[in-house]
Amino acid sequence: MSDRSPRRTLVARAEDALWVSWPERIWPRTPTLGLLFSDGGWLRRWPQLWQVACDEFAWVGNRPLNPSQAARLSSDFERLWLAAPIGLISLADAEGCDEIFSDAARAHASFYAAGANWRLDLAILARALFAAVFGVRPWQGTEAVRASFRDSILEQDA
Amino acid sequence: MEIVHRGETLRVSGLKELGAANCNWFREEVRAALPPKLHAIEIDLSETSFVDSCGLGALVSLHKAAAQINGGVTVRLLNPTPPVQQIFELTRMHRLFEIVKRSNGSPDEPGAT
Repeated sequence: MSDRSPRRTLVARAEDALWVSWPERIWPRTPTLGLLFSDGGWLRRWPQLWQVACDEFAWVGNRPLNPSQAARLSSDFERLWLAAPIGLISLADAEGCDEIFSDAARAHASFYAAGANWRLDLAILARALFAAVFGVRPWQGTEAVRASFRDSILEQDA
Repeated sequence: MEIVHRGETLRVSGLKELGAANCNWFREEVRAALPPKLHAIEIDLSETSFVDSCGLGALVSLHKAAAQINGGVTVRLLNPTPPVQQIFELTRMHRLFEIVKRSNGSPDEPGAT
């Protein structure tokens, strides 16, 4: 588990907090310039960056949930979502998971909460940045990413 | 990957890995093979060396799809390799699925759960 517990794990209005149009934000169609200036540009995320600056959000974490969404997490597996702090970029984003609250999104959140460490954060951040700059997801299925995820789990256990 | 029907049980085996590269394919193939009368799904993970969050999502999604056919359906994960078992335990998935470990000398016979 992450040790960044002072940070938030819930927000009052998750839609306002981040990502109604998150896929467009993280995968802008215009490489490089889109990173900063398009509708999906990162400069449009200044409120979230401010939350990071205030240490309420982490750079990397789980997507925010509001209380009603959190109440719909029905198993221990799904409730792990709340065990990690909210982050500007999530594993689901790095994996290109477009749906906000799907089974896949829940799995990404639980996986991140269970295995979060700096190496996993770095891998997520690198993938998201690469995708934002070049408009494609990198290294999908390659050994480098697999190893970083696998190692993070093993390190966590050790 | 091999999918075999045994009565009302669907058995999936031969998965080398379950990750971002093949999770959609796995989910769609198994969903398409779900019989109208379904009692259990057995997924043999004895050859699976790697599962990531995409793979976990595919398993959960499959579980829900099967439950729509029969609410009482059991999904068994057979003989997971130690790294995969570890991921299931860390993510609490062992409480969601029935995990059947290999018994001594009989790879297909369920031993301890």
